[in-house]
Amino acid sequence: MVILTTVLSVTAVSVALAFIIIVAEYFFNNYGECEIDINGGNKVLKIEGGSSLLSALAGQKIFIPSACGGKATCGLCKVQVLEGAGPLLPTEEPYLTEDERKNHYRLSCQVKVKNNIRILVPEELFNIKEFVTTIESVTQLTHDIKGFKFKLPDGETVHFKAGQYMQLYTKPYAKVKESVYRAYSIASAPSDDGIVELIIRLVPDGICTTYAHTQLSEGDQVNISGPYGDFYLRGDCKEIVMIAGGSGLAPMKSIILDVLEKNIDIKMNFFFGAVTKKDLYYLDFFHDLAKRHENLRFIPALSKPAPEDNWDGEVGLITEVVDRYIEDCSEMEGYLCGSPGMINACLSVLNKKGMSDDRIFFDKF
Amino acid sequence: MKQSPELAQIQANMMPGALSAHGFIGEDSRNLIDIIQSDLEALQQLGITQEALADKMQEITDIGAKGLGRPESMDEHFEIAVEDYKGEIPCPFKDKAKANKRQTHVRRLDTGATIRWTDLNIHMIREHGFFEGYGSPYRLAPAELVKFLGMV
Repeated sequence: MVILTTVLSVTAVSVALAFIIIVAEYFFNNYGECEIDINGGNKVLKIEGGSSLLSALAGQKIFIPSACGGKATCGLCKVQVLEGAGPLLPTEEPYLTEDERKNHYRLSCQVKVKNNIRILVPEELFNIKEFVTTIESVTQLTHDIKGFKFKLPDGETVHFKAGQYMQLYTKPYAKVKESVYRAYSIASAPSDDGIVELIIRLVPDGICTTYAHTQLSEGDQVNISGPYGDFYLRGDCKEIVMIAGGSGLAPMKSIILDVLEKNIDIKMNFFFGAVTKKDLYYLDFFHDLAKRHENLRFIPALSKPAPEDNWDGEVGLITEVVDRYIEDCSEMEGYLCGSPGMINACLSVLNKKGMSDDRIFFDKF
Repeated sequence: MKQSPELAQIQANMMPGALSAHGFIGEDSRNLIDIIQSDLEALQQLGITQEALADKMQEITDIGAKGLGRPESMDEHFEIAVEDYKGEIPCPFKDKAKANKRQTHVRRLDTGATIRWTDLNIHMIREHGFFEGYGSPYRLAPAELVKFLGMV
């Protein structure tokens, strides 16, 4: 009897505590309806408080660029928050310069909407749209790179600058319970506005690339949004150097096709680096383009060709090959896309050849 | 050992799908605190500190990274290939640290044995004494790793 009374007492206390916690959560975490005032009253959104500014805006179809899915690792989702943001979080500090802090920039993925908030957003972000696409084709380009063509719904088009990127949204799969999104550069030409081609390299253990490589096939419906980014051709010169590795070929393909279609008078030197031949793709495509267009020079290079590759092209690290081909690039612009290691190495060689940092462009994701 | 609520929250952050497809715990049913303690004891028995081990791994990764994917040799002992991917991954210990999505593949030239680690492995060993749980794709057993690197 004593044991039963004790068990019942403990149970009653537990239930009471659980009830108190639920009630407390309701009152303390329920921020009610909040207003987001955008660009001095141009748009006023009413949302339920409690979510991040990034996801609150996405819920209202205003898409702020983000490559990491709101985990504060890419630093792309900056917006100016004039009022209502709360104190700067330690997670934001590495991404904000002194000037940006003075001008009230914040990472929108880290700002929680708890009250009315006033923000400034560049007008061009209102052009970003979300599309429910259908996969038209999936092509195995190398052992770890696939090309995906996403067909937009009939009548819909996406207007982008060659070099920009889209965000691809996953669905829950295997042990991954939540949807995530990541950024991928567009490989197709802007003129091909009913189709978006993305080139995705499988990142070992990566949530989104594993999803794309193992779950997606022709006919599947996939959500994408965009366009985003400020990696695009400036063209304030007569000649450019383009250097890519792996899936970094994607924005170069888009830029090259755009330049050729529009007959822009710029000479393009496109260096594409890999270790062995099995890492290269689109070789025939670019060799053929270069044969037909004098202003495109295509230089694929292998850093360690395998004997079976029978490779008679350039050999060496891509930086060494650039060093051999380019004498002085102080009047040129540089466009880079690849891994952080490759980009850092290329920055050094382009600087050495006279190119200033403000003439070198690359995506920071 | 009893685990603090903070570590329990971190362990939840290590589950599949939170930061990576497979997570960091694998099939290990132990608490995070027990996984860490057990591996640090194993390391201590070998007379190696987690800092010394992380330093050695970082030295190898730095040498390999110069090859931009091409295998590089080190001291006639190792062949190293560093695969670099776009993007960064945050540390699951929520310490504000982020690591490049880089993988270092190391082959011993004398035995042909191979091992691989990520930049995040190096960080988690150095700062948190965490070698990942049993069955995790990137688990590094301390004794095997130390022996592989010729530190004992």
